[in-house]
Amino acid sequence: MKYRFLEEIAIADTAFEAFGKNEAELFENAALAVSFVMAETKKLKPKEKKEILLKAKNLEQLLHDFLSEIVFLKDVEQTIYSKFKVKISKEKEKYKLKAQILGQKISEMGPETVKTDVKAVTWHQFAIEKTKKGFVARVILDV
Amino acid sequence: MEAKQYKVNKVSDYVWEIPASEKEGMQAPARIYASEKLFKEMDSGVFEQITNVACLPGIVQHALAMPDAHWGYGSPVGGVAAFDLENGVISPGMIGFDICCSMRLITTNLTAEEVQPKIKPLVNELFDKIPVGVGKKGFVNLNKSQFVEVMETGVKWCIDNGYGWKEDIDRIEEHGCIKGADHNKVSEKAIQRGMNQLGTLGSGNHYLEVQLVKASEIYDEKIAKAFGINTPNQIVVMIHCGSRGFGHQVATDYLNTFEPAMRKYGITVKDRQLACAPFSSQEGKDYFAAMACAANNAYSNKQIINHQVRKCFETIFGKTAEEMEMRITYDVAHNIAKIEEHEIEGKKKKVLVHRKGATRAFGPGHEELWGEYKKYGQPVIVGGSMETGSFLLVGTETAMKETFGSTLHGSGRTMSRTKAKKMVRGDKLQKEMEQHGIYVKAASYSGLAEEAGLAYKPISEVVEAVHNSGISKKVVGLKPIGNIKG
Repeated sequence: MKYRFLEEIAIADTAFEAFGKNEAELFENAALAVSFVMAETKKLKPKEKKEILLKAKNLEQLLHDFLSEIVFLKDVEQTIYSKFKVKISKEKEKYKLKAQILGQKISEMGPETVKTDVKAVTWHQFAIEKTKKGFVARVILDV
Repeated sequence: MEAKQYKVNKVSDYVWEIPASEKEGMQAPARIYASEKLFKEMDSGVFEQITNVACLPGIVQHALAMPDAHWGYGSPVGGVAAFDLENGVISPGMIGFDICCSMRLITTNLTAEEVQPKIKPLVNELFDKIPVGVGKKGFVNLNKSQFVEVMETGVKWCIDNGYGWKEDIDRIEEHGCIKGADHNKVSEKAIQRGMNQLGTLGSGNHYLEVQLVKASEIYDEKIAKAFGINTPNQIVVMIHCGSRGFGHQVATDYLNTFEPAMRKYGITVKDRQLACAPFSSQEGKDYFAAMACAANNAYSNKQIINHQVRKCFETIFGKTAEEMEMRITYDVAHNIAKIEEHEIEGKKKKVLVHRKGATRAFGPGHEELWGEYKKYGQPVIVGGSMETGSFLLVGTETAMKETFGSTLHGSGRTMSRTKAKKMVRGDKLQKEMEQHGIYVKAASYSGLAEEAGLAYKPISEVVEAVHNSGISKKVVGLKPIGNIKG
């Protein structure tokens, strides 16, 4: 399972858990969950390409920044991304992210494809946990 | 009475108090305004979150939750808290990402008999001329210096540039411009995100609705007249939206600023989303100046939409907006922090009032109010779910005494968006609503399903609770006949 949406918490907003066998896959699946709130990601064509480079003091901040960037690009580029290739490395106490992302312009989507605007990635209950199978992140989006 | 894990004292039939002794770190009690039924049905998140708010440094008197309260992030939606200007904090999580999300009501002299036969072309025209939905661009092209002017002068910029009438400015909270806005406190990212979105509605629970005045629900004729409601079946337009990506980015940026600031000032919070800084600190002052920019952008956003609404009505009804008397009743925020003077322990004192999903409800005589509003109190616009109707209320002296001049903002959700989408199909809902006399155009079927009436508390119950508690009074009930949403 890449992600699952949670029905019973944060009633006003949208909560999900994303999973990954490693940090990079966790980030890819969490980004896909954010995009899935905004559009039917399976219907999107990977026509627009973008590279994201980020640095943060810890993994949680890096994930928060990465997901916030997906939300930011939705407004600035009017594009929703559905393919993510993430690389994460650690250098001198800093986590670094390099991501290749692909997506489609919102103007090309109909009412069956486009969904709800994500305003922001909240810090409410935001967490990354290491499990036996890899990693799980809990995220609540303001929509 | 117990509210999940907390003991609760009944203060009156509509006020419930969780004492400060119930959670470690509470600086003040938490008070919940609700009928016994609404109180019992409130989700546990409200009690957890409002007691977290009560732990914030410098909170004055008590943290408050309104009858429409539900589980949000940081503060519950429907939360109110005031802070001491010297020793208290400012918290973006007590305001919301959608800074200055507000309700605007525009009246007309048209009646349902004139508008209902043309509701489809009218709604189609509104949908065509007002950008709605995810990531939509506005039609106002601004360069950076013009956008800075919007941030710092608010609705005045819109009027000066032909987007509205001079008189509009008096009918907007703070005259459409919160003082203290400073564009230097706003990031380039926020500007990039917001610059092309002026005059756009957004999505989620944001909407623009054509409504009629319910003949059976004119509760106070005199005040209704003062608010521009003269006759049963009169047509009005309600707009619900905020500061769009600009405000969302301002809040995102400052939550990151406040985390190290809390370490610097030795503040701890129960929820990271309640990250805050002393209001008197540089970080606190900077956020307030940036928040004011976002608020001014939000008032301007609605002003541009208002301009488009007038043009759409002109196209469909072949009369000028002036002939149709398309006046603003009011525009009032429900996600904001304001410096206001309130009576605290018998003394007038300036405090920083945070309202998140709660509306300012100033009573009669308040100096900020204009004309007849000063005589009767401030109009309070309460948006219900798109299926059940909305209300126009008036602020009261009781609100001034008990709730820092605050009241509810809407129905309040009872069901998550994820759950609502499992139960309702957007395209089917659209057809059902049309059968019930509500013509809806939506940018997204999925977005429509999330906003189904079944996901909300009954509007009449929550309005009854504030009416009976006295923190605002019913003036008029409104029924939707047309709706556009993202």
